[in-house]
Amino acid sequence: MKRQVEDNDFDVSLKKLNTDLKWKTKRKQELRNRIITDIDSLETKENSKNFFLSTRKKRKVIRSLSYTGIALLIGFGLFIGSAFISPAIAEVAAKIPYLNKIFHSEPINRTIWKELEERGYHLSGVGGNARYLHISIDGSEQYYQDVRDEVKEIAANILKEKDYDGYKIEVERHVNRVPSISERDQAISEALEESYNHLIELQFNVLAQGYSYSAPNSEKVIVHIDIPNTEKRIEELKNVVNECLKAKNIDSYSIKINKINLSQKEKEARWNEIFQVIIEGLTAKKEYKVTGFAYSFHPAPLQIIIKTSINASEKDADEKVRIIERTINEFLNSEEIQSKIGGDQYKIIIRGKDKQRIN
Amino acid sequence: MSEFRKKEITNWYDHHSKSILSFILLMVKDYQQAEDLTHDTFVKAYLFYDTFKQHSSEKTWLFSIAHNVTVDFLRRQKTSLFFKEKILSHKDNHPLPEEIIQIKEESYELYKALGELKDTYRKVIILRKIKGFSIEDTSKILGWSESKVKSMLFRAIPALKKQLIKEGYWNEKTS
Repeated sequence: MKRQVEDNDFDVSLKKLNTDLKWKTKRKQELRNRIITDIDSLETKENSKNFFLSTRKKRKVIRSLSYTGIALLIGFGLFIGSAFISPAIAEVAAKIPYLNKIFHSEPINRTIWKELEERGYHLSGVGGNARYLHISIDGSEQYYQDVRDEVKEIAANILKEKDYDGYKIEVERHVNRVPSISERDQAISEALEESYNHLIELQFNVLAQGYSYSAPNSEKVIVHIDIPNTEKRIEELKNVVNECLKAKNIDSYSIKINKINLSQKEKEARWNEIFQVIIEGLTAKKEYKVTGFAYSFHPAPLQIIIKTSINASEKDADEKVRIIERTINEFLNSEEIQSKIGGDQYKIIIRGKDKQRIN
Repeated sequence: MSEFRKKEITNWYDHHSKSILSFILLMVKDYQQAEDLTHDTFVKAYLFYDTFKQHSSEKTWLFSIAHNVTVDFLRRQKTSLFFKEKILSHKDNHPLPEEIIQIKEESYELYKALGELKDTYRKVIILRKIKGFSIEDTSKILGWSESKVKSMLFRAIPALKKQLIKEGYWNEKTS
């Protein structure tokens, strides 16, 4: 393979190296999908982008990216890998508050869902509460029996990788429990769909719409409609709904209009994303002893209620309570979360085993 | 807006990802890492799309992101290699996984020789000679002055030839 060194030849060889490197189309496609998925999940966290963009200096921006979770949808394996080796990076990793890391990663149930789906399992849902993570399998009893243990093991490994020890995994078979819909219900649904379309045509901003029965076995239906509290045309709205229901011969009903304060709703939506992080973070680890979560915007300020199994008489109860408070405060006071909640006041209430406040 | 941005990025991916991947691969010599860093490049392009000012072509812009991402990675790797080598004393030179990326034998020699050069020589050769960027674009990507690009290349080419000769792939010019 010996050749003369001719400059021209040399240039040609170098150019050839470029074309000689072949990348399998399948791999290219797989990477493309990975990028799109990650971009999509970034979109749901639009604010994190603003956070980075607000950091002016370019070098600094790139750096902070490589430290944080968003990036690290990016190269998680790499990052963790180096954190073990390089003390400098390990230190940075340790400095990111626990909940902020969760804020930048996808919710645990989505991770599990994606992993199982990629492996070809048929699922109908992954959800959970403070103690249990439920995975429900779609398919025959036989299929359920066949895959149950594998599914449980995969989910357990994901939890282990994340160092989550607070959940018990329950794998169950999805049984279709939706009762068959009566003709009358069918008619009501159709009527409401029509009225919804009319309302939209008339420029009503219908935020939500639905109906319920006033009591079990009762024929009387309550139609619920959420609209902004700035909407004045209430009578007109009711007329539209009345006409549509009458056209389907539905007469036993009442209409309940819920007037929504949009800025409050928006605020609640912002907080909702944050609550999800607090819930996952505190329930995923046994050490916090968290058993439930609640919140209330009324009366102000916002109350964040953490239910725990801490016994007020335990000797380190105070310490545990302090850790929970600190974990939440650290997260809520971080720059990126502050930019989201814009100085909203809040109060943390921690309840013990006997449901009394312990902080 | 973000839909448009996403479309643009995927479009860019379709056009430039292979070139970006091979640039990074030649720099880091580790295929898996090259894929991860290519991923980072496009995600960052998406994140910082607003800062793309059209002063350069999108390709040049993408390469400058890829370059930053790679330099950052190499810097981190240096720290970790120090520890790795102390413990394992193994050489970090992964062969190419045949099933994923292929390279012809003749080019493989060049690939290996390039890998032995120092980073600054390697990247200027890749961008100017392998990727065919102009001096101006190369200077934008690397953040160097144009004269630095020229002088580095002037030194890098003989270094590469020397490396090839050392490894026995080339004869010295006879005339």
